[in-house]
Amino acid sequence: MDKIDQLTPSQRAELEDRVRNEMLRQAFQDLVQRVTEKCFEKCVTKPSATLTSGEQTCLAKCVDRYIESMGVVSKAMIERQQRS
Amino acid sequence: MSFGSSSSSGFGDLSDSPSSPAQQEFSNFLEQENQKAAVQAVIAKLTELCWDKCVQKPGSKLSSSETECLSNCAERFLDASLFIMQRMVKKQ
Repeated sequence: MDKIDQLTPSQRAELEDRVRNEMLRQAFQDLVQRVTEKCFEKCVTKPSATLTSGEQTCLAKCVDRYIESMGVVSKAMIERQQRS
Repeated sequence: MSFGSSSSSGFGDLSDSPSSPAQQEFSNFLEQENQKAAVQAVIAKLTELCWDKCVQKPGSKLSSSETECLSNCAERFLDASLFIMQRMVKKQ
């Protein structure tokens, strides 16, 4: 931690940016992994020789609905917070 | 959720007593980032749980009953976690 003192303000700002970017990258990666898992589970029930067009349609909708669901959950949490 | 979140020490050990203003500011920054990550982790977990319970077949929009189920599910999970926590504390 004492190395922080050796940084100029702009170097520190850069470090903070890097941390933020890394957090974002990680969060995005986690999300992609989770959505893939959830939607594969729902849409590819009997894996065949190819990813069928029906499966692709399902996957596309599934990803959109999953993101939409995250929004609903966040909204519910925010509203709850505001009530308390 | 890999950085910090629910685990006791995130990155940047905040128990160190930071001495300089720069260290103090940086440790505040880390704490804020950890907190953001923790909130995101809860949202991610709740979405996952409630998705399994509420959305059977993804359509072209969430239906109103799916939306209602998701938001009830998220709220009831938080109620349940509070309820269980209170019970566990009482039992100790």
